[in-house]
Amino acid sequence: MKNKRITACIITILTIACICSSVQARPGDCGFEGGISSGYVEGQQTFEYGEVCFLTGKPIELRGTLIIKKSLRQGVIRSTYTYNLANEQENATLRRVFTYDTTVTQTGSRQTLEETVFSRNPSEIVEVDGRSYVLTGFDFSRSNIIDQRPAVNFYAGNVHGRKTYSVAGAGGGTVTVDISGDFYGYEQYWGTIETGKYIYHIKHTGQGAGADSWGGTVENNYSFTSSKRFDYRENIPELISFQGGYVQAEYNRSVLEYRTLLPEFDSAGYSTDNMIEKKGTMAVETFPVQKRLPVPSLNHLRGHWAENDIKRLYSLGVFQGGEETFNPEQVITRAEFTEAIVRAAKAVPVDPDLQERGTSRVASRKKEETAVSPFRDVPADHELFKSVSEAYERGLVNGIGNGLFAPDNTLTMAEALTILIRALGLENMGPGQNAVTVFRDNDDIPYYARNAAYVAYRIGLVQGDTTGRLNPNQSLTKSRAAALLNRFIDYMREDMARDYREKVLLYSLLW
Amino acid sequence: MNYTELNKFCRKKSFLLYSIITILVLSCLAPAGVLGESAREVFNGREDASFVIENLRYTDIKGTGAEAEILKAGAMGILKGYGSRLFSPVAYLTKEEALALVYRMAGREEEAQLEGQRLNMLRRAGDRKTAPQDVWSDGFLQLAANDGLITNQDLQDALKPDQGTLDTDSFRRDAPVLRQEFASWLARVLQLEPVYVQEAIFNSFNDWRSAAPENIPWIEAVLRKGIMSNDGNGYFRPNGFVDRKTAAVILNNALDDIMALRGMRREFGRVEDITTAEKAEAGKRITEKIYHIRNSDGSLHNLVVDNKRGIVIIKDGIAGNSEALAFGDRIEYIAGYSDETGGWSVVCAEVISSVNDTEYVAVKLMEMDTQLRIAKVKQYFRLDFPHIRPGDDISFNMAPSESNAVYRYKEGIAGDIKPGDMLILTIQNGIITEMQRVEFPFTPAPENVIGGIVEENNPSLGYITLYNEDGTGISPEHVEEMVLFRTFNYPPGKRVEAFRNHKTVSPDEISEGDTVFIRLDSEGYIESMSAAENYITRRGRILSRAGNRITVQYENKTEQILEISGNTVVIIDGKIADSRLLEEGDHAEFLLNVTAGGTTVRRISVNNGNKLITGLYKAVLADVDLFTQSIKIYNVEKLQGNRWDRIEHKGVTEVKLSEDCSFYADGLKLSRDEISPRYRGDRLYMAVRSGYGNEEVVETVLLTSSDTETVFSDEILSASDSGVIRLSAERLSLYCSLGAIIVSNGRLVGPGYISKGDMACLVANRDPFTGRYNAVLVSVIDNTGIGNLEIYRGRIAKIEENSSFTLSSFSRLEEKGWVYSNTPRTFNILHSTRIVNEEGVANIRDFKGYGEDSSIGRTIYVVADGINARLLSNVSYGSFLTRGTIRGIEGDTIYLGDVRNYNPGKLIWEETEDIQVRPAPNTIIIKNGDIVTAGDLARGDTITILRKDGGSEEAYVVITGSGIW
Repeated sequence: MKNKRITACIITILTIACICSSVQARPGDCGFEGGISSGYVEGQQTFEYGEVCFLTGKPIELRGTLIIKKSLRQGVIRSTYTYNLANEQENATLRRVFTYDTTVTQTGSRQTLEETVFSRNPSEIVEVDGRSYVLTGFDFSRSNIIDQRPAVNFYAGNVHGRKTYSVAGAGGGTVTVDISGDFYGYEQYWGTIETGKYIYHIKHTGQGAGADSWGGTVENNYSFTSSKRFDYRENIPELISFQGGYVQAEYNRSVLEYRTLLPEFDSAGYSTDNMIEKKGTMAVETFPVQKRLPVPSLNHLRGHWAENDIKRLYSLGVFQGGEETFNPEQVITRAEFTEAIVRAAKAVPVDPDLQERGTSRVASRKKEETAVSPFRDVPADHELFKSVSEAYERGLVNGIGNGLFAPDNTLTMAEALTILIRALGLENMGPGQNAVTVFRDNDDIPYYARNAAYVAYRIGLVQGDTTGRLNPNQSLTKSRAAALLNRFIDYMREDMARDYREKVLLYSLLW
Repeated sequence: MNYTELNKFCRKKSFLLYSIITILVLSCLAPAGVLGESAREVFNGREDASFVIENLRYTDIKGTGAEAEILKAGAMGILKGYGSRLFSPVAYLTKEEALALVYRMAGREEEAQLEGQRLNMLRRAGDRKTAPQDVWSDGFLQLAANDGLITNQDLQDALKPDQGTLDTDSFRRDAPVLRQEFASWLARVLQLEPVYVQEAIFNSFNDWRSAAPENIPWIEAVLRKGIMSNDGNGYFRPNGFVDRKTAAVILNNALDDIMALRGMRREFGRVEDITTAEKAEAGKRITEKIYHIRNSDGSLHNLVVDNKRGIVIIKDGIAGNSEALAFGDRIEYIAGYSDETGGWSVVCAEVISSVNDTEYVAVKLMEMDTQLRIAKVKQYFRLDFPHIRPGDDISFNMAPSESNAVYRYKEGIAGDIKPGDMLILTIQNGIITEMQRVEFPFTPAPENVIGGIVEENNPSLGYITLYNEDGTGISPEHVEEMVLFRTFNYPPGKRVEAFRNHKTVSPDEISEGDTVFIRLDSEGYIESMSAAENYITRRGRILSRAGNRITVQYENKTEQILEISGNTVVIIDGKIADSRLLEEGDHAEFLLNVTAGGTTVRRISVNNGNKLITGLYKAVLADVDLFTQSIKIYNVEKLQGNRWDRIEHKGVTEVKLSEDCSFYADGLKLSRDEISPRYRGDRLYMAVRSGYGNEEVVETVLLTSSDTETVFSDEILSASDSGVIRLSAERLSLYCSLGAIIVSNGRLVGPGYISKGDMACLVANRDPFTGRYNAVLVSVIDNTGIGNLEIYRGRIAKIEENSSFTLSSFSRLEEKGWVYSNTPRTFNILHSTRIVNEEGVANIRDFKGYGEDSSIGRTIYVVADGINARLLSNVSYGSFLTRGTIRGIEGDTIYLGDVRNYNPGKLIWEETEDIQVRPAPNTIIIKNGDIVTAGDLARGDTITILRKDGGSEEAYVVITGSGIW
């Protein structure tokens, strides 16, 4: 048992080592101040950053940079966020340095809890039109629960805090800001997202004669994504040895919507009873990083209805080898599908800043250890041993019982859907009871797969055929598997993010 | 587990699992049960069996429907035939026969004989009767008189030798017996308890009043016992006659009482095995045939026949010998004690049914469709016999999933059976052949909590149906499983507690597709339900709308027609709204309940967010950049009001493409990678919406190579779905092709959405060959003008600080100028009421009626919405109205063209030269029915301004729109 776990560990680390993205929207890259940043781009420590300041009672969009430094020691992540923001038009600047300690605790077999507090005194100075707002007190706590599924880590958390600023000069006083925020997100190979909603209650208390007191609320909704896009490029010259191919573009994009409800101020600067609702948006994004994907030789499939699906899977490395002899009408075996799903539902990338020193060395030292197969019929020297054991360790597949995997058996639609939904970790989207699907052949769906079929329909992974049937017990051909896997990748790339965004944002993301 | 179940389960393929278990259990138990077990009781045959059988070969009973009863009555010797193989089933029972019958039922023949003989002895020798039957008949009459069934007068009448001389009121012994008499005699002889309380049973008959009062308690008694019943139409017919076949049936109904009085037994059992054995009797070898009967109490009985003693078997309406008994037959066997043999012997046995084709189920009838003859029942348990008797072996042997069933039933068997009745059903080959109302001697214990997915919930009709526990139950192929539908009933007239997502709701809010748990009360009715929804959300755009049906295009480009029902909640911008406010082109999230039965829409949340069209452009295409997903264009012009304006930026500029941006050209829809190579240099029209951070995003692009553009600004005369738009003033028609950009109220719509009377700016290209105008762009202009707002001016008489103020008299600005009214007018001051002066925004809290800064006596403008003041301004008085179109705005100077001044003397708008005006901080500016600031005015807007005079550059009031009031 122990052996097995070590093997799993090595494999995971190795896989991660090869799939680190050059662009990544990591949780926490936007800070915890309700702003948005451009996120991680390989080789850059400084992020483009924007947030809205409303201490004056009037929303001011501030833009500038955010520098994040992180280190992981003994399960505690120490991170320092340095903000340098300005709005020239409004004659406003903001300087802020916050250092947090985040403790990570394992709370379940798949779940971890992150708790974040300040490790040092926070400092923040905002200047607007010569008046300065100095942070004098900040109570802050943030907690986040992370649920790790075979191909996706889901998380959800809350932020609560109270900031107190002292305002210098005539008409000065104090500004108190109560913060409460919810955020949700996931991380996976094809894209990450964090969406959140922060609500601020601002209270301005004046000092001295003619002191002006007012209050307002601000709602900040943001989404922070990194996505991969594939575009097919036709070749322009005719005399070229291959047809067009795919270009992958990776980019981060953050958007922020804010809605403020603040008093109108009269020409003398005093608040009035008229509350003004204002809406505004900000966006920060990175320029796409592009990569040309390999071009498979699939000339014999020209015009086949699954040509593009198969081509794209080869380009993405989900299908590998045997291009010339690829027969789309052949049934796919359990082992072949497993190999494909391991590549289509790649492990969740880890934050490169948080890899404890020495892990890679440990990995290479233990690399030579003998591998033990979880299945009797997939020995370590089996052609697809690596994929099958990785899929097993990650919980993507189970055997058929009795320590057997039946690698050469065919795979039905029902089995495939069960694996895909498990990879996403969305089994719980089905009703508590055994689901009833809308497929006309619902009753033919095996008992164990009915919830998966329900979820797959609900998230748009499958639709019925022209007669409304799922045909759950038909063996999947390679072409059908290709279509299904492509849809699965697109779901992970686009649809998941859309659900997160549109549930939180009032507007929808543009592209 | 028993054969019945085995049989039932084996016929239900869907319960393969259960079948296997049952078979396994049975395969070890069944043989052991018969072979290893000794009989608890042994019953012998009767010696006169063949003789009795011979006498029961009636030729006239077939088709009476009472064959078995007649034969049984005969075999028991209680009601015999008239000889010559005739039973005369339709002959009426005479009074004397009836009395003889009831006494025989009670086993009092001997007593009657003695009475008869005694009576005969009292007669003079010459008058004595010689035929024993006659003597006995007299005996029965005497007995009846002794018991008080008939009066002494009746007896006198009856014994008169010449019955023909009796009048109609007299007791004629050969007259047909009346039903009420028969009931009364029967009840008394069988020693039933009279029922003196006026009971529902008897009251429910329509003709109970025609019965003699003294008979009523006895009729009541036989009705209660189920010995006699109505005629099927709600009549008892007390004065009707009783034919002999009915008498046989009544006899059978009274069997239990008869048995008790005659010292007989009646048993039920199933032929489990038939064996033979040899025995020696009087030196002879005799072969015995032993019928192993599993009695309904679970014990084993043996019925033994040999060459001397046989059993009278009644099967399929014929009397036969024991050879008629077959394995699996369910029999009723009647036995009498024989003093000779010192044991029980079988008087007769009736084959009721066979386990091979018939089953009995104890149910509660939930619903019935008398048209289709379908009964929905809640099944409690299976029975071996169509009755429950004390001591019967009853086990709750119903699988939970079978507890609800639907059966068809045979015609004419339902009678007055109604939902709610407890019944024992005889189910033959899956069809109910008999329904028997029973009172269970116990309370059925149903499953208490059931969970599942709702297939249908219909509280108004009183039921909820769930899918099978394993999620099956929708395939039309599996008709057999219809029987397994899980239906539960709402208690009549009682409230059911219901929760949905743990909030209290009314039961009808639990809908199809919900996950639900149902708790049942002791009677099997729903007591409480707790449900959670299983909805699907989809996002999309409303393509078109016709009445309550909307066509929706989802993000994945699939289209669906949805029906908006009374249960559909419509939310527009976060507030519940009327479904009529849904508009074509709206973007919304649809909460759908997708079930096997179809899709219903539960909620539509319209959130156009930034999806509303904010600009219309014309340009020339340079490129579509697939990498940055943007369109590069030059010679860009923006539609402002009703004219194209060049944008500030010169040369090539880029605009982002939205995720689902559509491209059209030449009446075709194209993909974005097809555009660049083919249409570079062509003119394009595009609609954009606002994106994040001040950017614009293209929603739709129409490319055209034509450059014969005309811009119309006109009122729509008509517009059709097919895309023909007719203009009022121009008197011509424009044709929209696929991809024509039509925008109304910020939404991209179809041509059918434009209404007659809309003001619109239309851009069309003229086809050089046909002369036809092809519309490329239609922008319906919002012409709200001042909307609901009103502008007043007057002197302040009174101020209730932060609450209200009153003008002593006022003027109201109307289309042709101020209209004075010499009455005071009060306006409310709300929190949102604003006040402006020369410096800009002032503080409404400083608007006071006392002290140094008192406003009393000052003259102000009031913009009001009904009785609520929206804006107060101290801007100067003006009365000169001018109308014009904004040519340009530089700083705070607005340049107007097409200027006309209003001449109140001539009541006309007079053309004049272009002017420029400057709004002040306290100028009242209204656009589209709302108070705005000068920054909201745009080039192309038509405005009406109020000035001091024709030469003034100061505008006191600015209202956009051409016809403002």
